[in-house]
Amino acid sequence: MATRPLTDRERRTLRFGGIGIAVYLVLFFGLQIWSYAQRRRTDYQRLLREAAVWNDKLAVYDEKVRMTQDLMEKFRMDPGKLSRTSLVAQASAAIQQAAMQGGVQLGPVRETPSRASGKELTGIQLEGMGPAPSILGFLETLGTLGFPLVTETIQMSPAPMGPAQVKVSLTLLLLDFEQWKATERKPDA
Amino acid sequence: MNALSWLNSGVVWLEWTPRTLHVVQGVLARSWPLERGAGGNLSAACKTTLTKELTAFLDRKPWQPRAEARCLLPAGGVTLRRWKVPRSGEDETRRVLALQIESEFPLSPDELAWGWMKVGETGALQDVLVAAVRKASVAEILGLLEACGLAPRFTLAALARARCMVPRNPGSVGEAWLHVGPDPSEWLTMDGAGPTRLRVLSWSEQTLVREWSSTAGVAPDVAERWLNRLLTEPGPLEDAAKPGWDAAIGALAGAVPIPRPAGCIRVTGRLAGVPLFRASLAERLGPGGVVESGEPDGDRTLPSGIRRLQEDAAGRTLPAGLWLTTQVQEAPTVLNQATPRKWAAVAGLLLLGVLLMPYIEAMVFLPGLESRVAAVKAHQDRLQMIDRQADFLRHLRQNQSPYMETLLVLGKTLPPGSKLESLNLNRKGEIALRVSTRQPQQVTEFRTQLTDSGFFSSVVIEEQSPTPDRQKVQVRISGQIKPANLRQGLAILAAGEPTNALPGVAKPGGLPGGPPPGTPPGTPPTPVMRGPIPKT
Repeated sequence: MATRPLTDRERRTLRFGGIGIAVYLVLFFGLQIWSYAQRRRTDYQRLLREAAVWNDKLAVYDEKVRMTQDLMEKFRMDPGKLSRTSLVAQASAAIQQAAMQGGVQLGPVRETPSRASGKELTGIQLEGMGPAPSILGFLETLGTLGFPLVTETIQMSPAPMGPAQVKVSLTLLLLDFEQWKATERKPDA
Repeated sequence: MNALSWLNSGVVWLEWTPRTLHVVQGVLARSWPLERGAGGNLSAACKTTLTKELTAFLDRKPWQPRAEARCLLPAGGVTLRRWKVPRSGEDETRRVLALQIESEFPLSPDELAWGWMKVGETGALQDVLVAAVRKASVAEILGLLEACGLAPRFTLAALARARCMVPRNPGSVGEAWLHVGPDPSEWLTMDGAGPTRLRVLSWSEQTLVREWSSTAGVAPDVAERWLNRLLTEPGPLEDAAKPGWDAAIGALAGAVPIPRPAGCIRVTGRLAGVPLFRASLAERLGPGGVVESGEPDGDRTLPSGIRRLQEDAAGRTLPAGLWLTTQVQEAPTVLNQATPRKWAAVAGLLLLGVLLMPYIEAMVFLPGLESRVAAVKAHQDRLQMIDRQADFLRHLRQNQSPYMETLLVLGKTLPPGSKLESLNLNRKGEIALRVSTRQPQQVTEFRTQLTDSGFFSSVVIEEQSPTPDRQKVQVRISGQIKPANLRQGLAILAAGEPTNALPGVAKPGGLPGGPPPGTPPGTPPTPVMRGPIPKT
């Protein structure tokens, strides 16, 4: 069956209809694409702000990490690797070995229980005797034994054994890294 | 049609006759009557009206470039020539033709609007058709159209009607085209190659009306009605109209130039659709005269010249053919340039890029940024560990007792001959020491030196008493060491000779010969610590 050719009016109607549908489709999908792109842009800007905040925060850590590494080298210690269970025994052994190697005769060594508020694992009281340079060398060595030791008190007096002999009484605190929490940054205002 | 079609103003078609202007733009068509003054020029009122109404009709947007106007001019004042010139390029041919015009025309090429087209070639020669018209007659139309925002190009309506703007078949026989209408008729003869002669005949539809009016004795409006009835309902004439009809057709036949071409005569215009007109004219022209309609389709809604030119130009920006140009080309301006499609496209793309760049940036960089921020967040625990370690180590450093510095200061400040008998120090910086000196004034000096050292924030002599043998003075001193930040840079802590040369070191009870082997570097000079002071 032959198809009737379209009249000019019918063609014009079809043309307008096609244009209308095309405009509708463009608007429909265009708005969806636009809203999607707007959403992505909003997310991107939010992430940019968040990244800027992180960037500022991390910039502080450059200096902090450098300082931490310096202190680790100075104290010859990585706090994260300290074993809490055997720390007291290891520290006590290291102190006595350092005294022996430094020519210091150790007297009684006492361990005192920790104070909960002090964030200390234990306290160590010891007495030693030896030549003044050995005592000084021993005191200097305490900071580089690889344990978090803080000298609470130190008493030096002449030893009764003879000249140039010094008696020293020390109270050492062994800090507990596990009890340590990072101080929260207070607002500047 | 492409995406940039909206940038174009399209093409406007115009056909000028002595009394009417026909304008076609797209599907719109309109005609304006023309009023002319005594010299044949358009009246000022007509120009004003025409400029205003034509501008409104064209509805050109300010950002659109000038629309190209293809103008068909009437045959009045036009000279048509066929010349044979040597074959060469277009520029060379134009120069040769300019010389030919200079020698054969009464006006120089600079005073003419003229054009040419090649209609054939024989050996080293080419057959060209040249048309020229006085520039002054074109300038009036040119100025009017430019004022309406158009960029006009001119050709002849007679050539367009006869389809001479496109090459003819080489074997065509000669023919003539007769255009009759309200204005004087135009007669164009053609040989096998192209047009040869163009004439304006002093015969129009008004001639027929006048003949009817004079021979039949009817009023002109009655004769007009006879003409309109003949044009709309072709049929036999009334008896009263026959004498006038015969006289008018006879006058037209007499006006036709001789010799006539061998082929038929094609008639265009309103009377072309009247069989009686064609038959009567053929009869009057004598044996061999064949008159046919030049518009067999019968479509006369548009002027035949515009319609034929549109057909020839279909699918082409500018049909080849004879276009009249003036010698002096107008300077190109932004507005009369052809549509700057390339630059418009570039500008559009740049604008689109500027608008879309934030969104493209978000699309492209968002995934990478998300992963990087997520990676940083994943290492947040590590940052907390760094904070803990840093605080822990800082606390450890700040709580180290400054006993080595304290001993250094005491070594430098103890008076000669004095003895440090005991020293107590805690991590808060509180210090207590017992010293014995030889002279009472040495106690004052010692205290002064301790204070002047800047190492202590306070120095207090808690007790000062002579020994029982009155040989020495025993002193008990307490003090407070300054915080670490206030101790930095003190001169007494700088390396160098002690200010007081540690009087006890080289003296009996000291450490003769300097520090023993094995003393750590940086160890301060050791103050004298002798045995307990004998109690008496």
